[in-house]
Amino acid sequence: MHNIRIIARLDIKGDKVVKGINLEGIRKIGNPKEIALNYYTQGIDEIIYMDVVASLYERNTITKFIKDAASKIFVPLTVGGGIRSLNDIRNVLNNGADKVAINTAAIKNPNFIKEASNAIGSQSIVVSIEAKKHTNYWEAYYDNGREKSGLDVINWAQKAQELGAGELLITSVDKEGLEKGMDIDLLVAIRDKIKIPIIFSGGVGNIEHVNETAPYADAIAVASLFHYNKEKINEFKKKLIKKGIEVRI
Amino acid sequence: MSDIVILDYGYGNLFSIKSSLNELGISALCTKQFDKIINAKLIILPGVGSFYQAMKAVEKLHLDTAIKKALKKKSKILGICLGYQMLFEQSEEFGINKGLGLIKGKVISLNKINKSRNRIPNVGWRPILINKNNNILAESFNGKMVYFVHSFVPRATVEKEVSSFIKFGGTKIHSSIHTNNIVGFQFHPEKSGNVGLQILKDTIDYLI
Repeated sequence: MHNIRIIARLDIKGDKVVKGINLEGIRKIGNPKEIALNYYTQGIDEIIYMDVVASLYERNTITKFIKDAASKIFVPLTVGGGIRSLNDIRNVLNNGADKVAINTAAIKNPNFIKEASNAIGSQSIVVSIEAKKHTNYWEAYYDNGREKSGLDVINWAQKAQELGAGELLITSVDKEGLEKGMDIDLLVAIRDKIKIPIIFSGGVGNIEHVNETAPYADAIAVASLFHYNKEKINEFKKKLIKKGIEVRI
Repeated sequence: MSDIVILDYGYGNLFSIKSSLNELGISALCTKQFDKIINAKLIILPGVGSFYQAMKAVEKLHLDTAIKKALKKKSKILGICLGYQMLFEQSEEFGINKGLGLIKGKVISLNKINKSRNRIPNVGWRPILINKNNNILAESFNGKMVYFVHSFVPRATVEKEVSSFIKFGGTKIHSSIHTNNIVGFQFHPEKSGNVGLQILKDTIDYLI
């Protein structure tokens, strides 16, 4: 098995890193550049900036500090929230991001995934899927977990892959922010149906949650655990290695 | 005249490469100007996206001619990611397309060699294995992890030119080459933390 990536997910509102519960009820954490730089120094494998209001208010706030952060952070940087045109993608990538995460714009126009991966290259196109569990399936949501799409998450993930996504970022809206563990059933249901890498997000509250998810994951996104200083990233990764999980240190 | 130029042809993450060089205290100029390129000591060829489109852009700006002319004048060249793949004779991405032909070998699809059914694109941190028959990249990097994101990879004809391998899909693939005047990385040294920065620094010190 390959080693897994431990990714820090920084939800952004305005000029602050924030953290919500089920993608709502937002709490301020701090300065996006300082936090990203701190995580980089501590040995994070990758960073995701997710602008949680950009798609709602139809605006882009995030590019101004991508550049600032990207000039000092030498690990991959993914930016999501409000990406809705090839120009938006180019703007973000030219400012130092390596990948963009697209949700709302892809749901409204799935062909945008194809257009983007043809024009930019699929390695830079991450399709972000916000999943909410129903009795016997998961539904894809958009606008930061507020709007129903009617799409079945697994079908949508397969479609996104077909259209040229390079990676998927799958967030369990139900588990997000609760720190009570990840929706492993969702990951297990989806992983064998998909050939591209999956970044799994939502619910990590302690090392056991990463430990139990790791066998099924390519990458795990973590927020609260690092934001609230419950774990130092380098120490955390050393502990994972002791548990037999392969990560970079 | 700048010693180091980064080719600006619309298909590379110039910002990240320039930032990583800044971090190392090395200055570089992003340019597509013919005279600046042929007089540079080191030409960095970045690249993300599709092989065919990137080669077309390079040819349209006559950068292929500039690179070859510069090499004759003893310039050195460093290709990163797609820029590494473009150093080779051809790629099979979207049909057979010609590369710069500076290094013998072909770029092949990871799907062809993926016996152990790894995920493709190959995304993430992988430990590199130093090729002792090449020995230009320091052995201290053996087992160190660097960041990859790719669906194709070059297969160099001359094994001695390969400076590092990684394991993929049950086989070993060529993750970098080092020759006297040409270096290429499939991984992103500019996105590989301190290890990547050190590899970049050592390589530039070696080349110029």
